[in-house]
Amino acid sequence: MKSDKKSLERVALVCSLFLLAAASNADASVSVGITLYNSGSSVSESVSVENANYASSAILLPYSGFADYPYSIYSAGAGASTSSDGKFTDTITAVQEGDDANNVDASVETKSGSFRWSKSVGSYDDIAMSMGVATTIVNGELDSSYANSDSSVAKEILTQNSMYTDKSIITPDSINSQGSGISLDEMENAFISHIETQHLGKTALVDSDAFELTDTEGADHTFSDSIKLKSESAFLANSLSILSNNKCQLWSLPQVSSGPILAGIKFTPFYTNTKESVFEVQTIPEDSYPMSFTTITPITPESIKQYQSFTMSMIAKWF
Amino acid sequence: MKTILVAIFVVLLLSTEALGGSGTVKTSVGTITQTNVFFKPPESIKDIGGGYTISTSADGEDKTTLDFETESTFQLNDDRTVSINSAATTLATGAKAFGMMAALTQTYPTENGYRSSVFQTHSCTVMPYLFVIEQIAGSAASGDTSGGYNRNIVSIGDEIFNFAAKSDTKGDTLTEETYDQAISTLPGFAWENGFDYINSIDECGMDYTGTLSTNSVLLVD
Repeated sequence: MKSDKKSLERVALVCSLFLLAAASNADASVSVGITLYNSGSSVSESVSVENANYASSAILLPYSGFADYPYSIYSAGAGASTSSDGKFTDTITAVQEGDDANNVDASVETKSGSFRWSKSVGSYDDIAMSMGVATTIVNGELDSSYANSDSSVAKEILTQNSMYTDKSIITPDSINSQGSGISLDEMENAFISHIETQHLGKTALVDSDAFELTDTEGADHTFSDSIKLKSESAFLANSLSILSNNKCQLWSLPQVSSGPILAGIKFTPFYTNTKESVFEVQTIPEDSYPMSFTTITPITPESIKQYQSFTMSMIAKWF
Repeated sequence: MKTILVAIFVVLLLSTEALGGSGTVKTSVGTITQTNVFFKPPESIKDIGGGYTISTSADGEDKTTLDFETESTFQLNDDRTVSINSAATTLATGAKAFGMMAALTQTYPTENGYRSSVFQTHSCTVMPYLFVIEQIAGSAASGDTSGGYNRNIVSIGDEIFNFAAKSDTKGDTLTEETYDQAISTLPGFAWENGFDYINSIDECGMDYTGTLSTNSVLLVD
């Protein structure tokens, strides 16, 4: 016990690390690389930020169980954007002696948006680590990617007169990403989403687009995506809705791709290594044309209110 | 070569009187469901077939009756897909709310697994006072085409109101509604209806389902 206490005092002097990376000026870029290791395990982190702050602290001990600490290495940190145009990349790799390396990675770039993220990593009996990311864009662009050793998710989102928020959690065994969007104006709004998911030897691309090109009374749109990748299963879901309001009615134009309101979903599955299709590209609607609408002024008596919705949704699962 | 496998004619009649007392007691009158019918040609090593479900219900006061009649036919196409035609007529009296749900399902094998398509439609009519409603609902699916309709005739005393919706993905209408403008004289009238086209693939260890749904709510202040 006495020996442990002396050791703790010596170790504490050199092994409590407080790391700070910050950038507050426009277009400023800062990066930092950190490696913590002892005789049993190693944790490396590489962080790069533009227009974002990041702070992290770490505790490094000789071995797990030292001075009753349950871990031998522990590190936690968090960051956030400081400008609407910001970027960060955070890559963490951890390995224990005799085991394979684990990693969690996240990269986010926003234009007209914001983000924040946090991470924790500890070397216990096993490596435990996770990273959480939250992003929002309003009339802007999002380019993000989340990955671990087995899988990855990449999102490219563009919004006009609309907003999109995303919350993602990455661990060595799972990626969970939930996003949702909504139009902010009934006129000239647009939503473009390209999401690529790779897991268990298969890759799925989901493209979801909605355009409202009219500058007269038009329609709202809503969007949601859900991605759940676990060690032995993958689940994707996307939904895109076009909603009328009481000021106009939606008039569908089947098999016409030039209506002022267009919306569609495309699903492309292929084997990751060979790029060969799992099955042919699927579209909603099925005929490969986007849903096409025009708006008309209601001709109904004033006492009649009508609300319409057209929803496209897809779910994909593989094991 | 087309082979007619089965022709089904089902007539179900339900006439239920509420057990409640007079005045304000609200009574639910049951639901009728014709469960799925599935077909498997003897020459096929995999299931080929489909089925249909139609369900209606009505809520009212004191005395509500619901007469339900349905008819469906099935036909095998080129040993791969099934054509289904289904129609139902329902008469509800003494109702304040009337609802309908119908679905057709096709399932057929492919080289790497199975594919299926489902067409669904639903309709719900609500009013603050008692009405009589006759609804004719129909749907059909064959190969990669499907569609359906519901036509409604509501009587309140001597007055009659018509409203209807139809949809199909291979024709000219994704969804279309028609109704009497005279409905504007029925404050509290509400009609919700919609159609769903669902296509599923289960091949090479991947399940995919894509759905196109329409929905419409009509309210009278």
